Amino acid sequence: MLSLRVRSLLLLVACVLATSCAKYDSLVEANATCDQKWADLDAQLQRRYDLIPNLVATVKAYAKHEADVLEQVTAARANATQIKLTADDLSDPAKMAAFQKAQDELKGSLSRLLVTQEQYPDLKANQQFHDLTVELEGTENRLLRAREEYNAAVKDYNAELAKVGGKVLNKITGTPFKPRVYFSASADAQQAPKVNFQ
Amino acid sequence: MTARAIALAVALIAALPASAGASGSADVPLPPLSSHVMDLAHALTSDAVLEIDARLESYREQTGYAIVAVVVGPLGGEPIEDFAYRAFNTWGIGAAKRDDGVLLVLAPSDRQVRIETGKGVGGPLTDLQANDILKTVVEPPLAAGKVREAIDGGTLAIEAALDKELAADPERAARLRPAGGGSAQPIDRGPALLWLGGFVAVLAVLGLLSIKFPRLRGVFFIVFRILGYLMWIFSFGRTGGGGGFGGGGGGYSGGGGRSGGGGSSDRY
Repeated sequence: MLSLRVRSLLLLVACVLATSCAKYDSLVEANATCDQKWADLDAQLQRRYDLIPNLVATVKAYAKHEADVLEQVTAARANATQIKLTADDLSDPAKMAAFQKAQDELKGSLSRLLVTQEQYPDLKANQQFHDLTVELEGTENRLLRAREEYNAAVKDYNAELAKVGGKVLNKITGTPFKPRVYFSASADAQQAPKVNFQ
Repeated sequence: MTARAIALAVALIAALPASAGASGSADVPLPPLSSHVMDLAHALTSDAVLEIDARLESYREQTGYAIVAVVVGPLGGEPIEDFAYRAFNTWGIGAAKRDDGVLLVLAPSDRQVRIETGKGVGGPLTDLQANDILKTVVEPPLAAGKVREAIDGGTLAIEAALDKELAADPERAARLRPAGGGSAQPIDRGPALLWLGGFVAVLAVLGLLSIKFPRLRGVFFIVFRILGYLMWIFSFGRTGGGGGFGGGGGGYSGGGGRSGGGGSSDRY
């Protein structure tokens, strides 16, 4: 028969184990939510990449003088698509910063491209150009929401991880959880490219 | 040290109302969703609201798609995309898992319109189609000040787009029909029957026990009465919960659907 002290010790260990298991599970859950939100975001980024070549081709047909702007967009797209982020990179501030910079540049060049349409009435009237800009607008808006949702998920996850329980647990289990980096955009990139047809 | 702490506290307190005021004044307040037509700008007659609500209600019962229209006053600088997203997700338009809601936003004072689609409607109602609906059927009457016509035209065009998808996907229609048949929230009678059966079984056991132990009959009787009361309250609650539908009139309080920012906006 075990002594009272041993038994109470065992009980304590059992309690600690149970709570840390629950804590571990909640961290796993929060991490999975982040992954899912990131996948949503990635899908919208992909959609944006897919739309750009068509947009560039359409604009090219009408606005031959805008070779610079068109080239910038193509280059920025190529640059952005080259950066492939793995799951680990989402916790790496340097890699995330490079990724954000590439995305911001792409967005900036896209905005400049869309502004040029003002000078080309034929382009403005072109149905395909109109359709592409509507789709791009929709994609940009979805992207904005996906980013908000991703950042909200990251906030929850990072907070959970920074709390005493999460911190201790992470240390004991060999730091399987790393804080994630927010996917925030620069101030001017927040502005979605807007085209207004009058 | 304390001086610094006080300075920090003062700075924090000074910053609080400023930030609270900034976010509070910019956003249009959202009342709870009560109908398929939310007339925040008082641009419609109550008859018009009831008629459109009833039509959208029956459409939702038949197809599962929740279409809600909102007429909003001055947006006060909030982008219509933000307002639409906020309203859609606050109200939870569409069913929770299917996310099959559509929100038509009219902001006549800002001369802006938007169709916000739920995550599950991006296929049947593309951004392009939404933009097309806005341009061809919503904006012309709205520019002439006819809000009712704009809502009728817009919601009917949205229905037409969704109908096409329904025709192409008979499975969805078949899936919905048994669930969404008569009322918006089918009352599941399974658990109620189970409870009832449980009560009856307990009562039977109590009856048998009181025969076997006549001396404890008083105690059993009290338990019996309490259970009887509980059952009465319980069954009353069940039948009471079913009311409120079946009147033919509309009314809608959302189903937990979410939008991911899909749709299209336009200025006119």
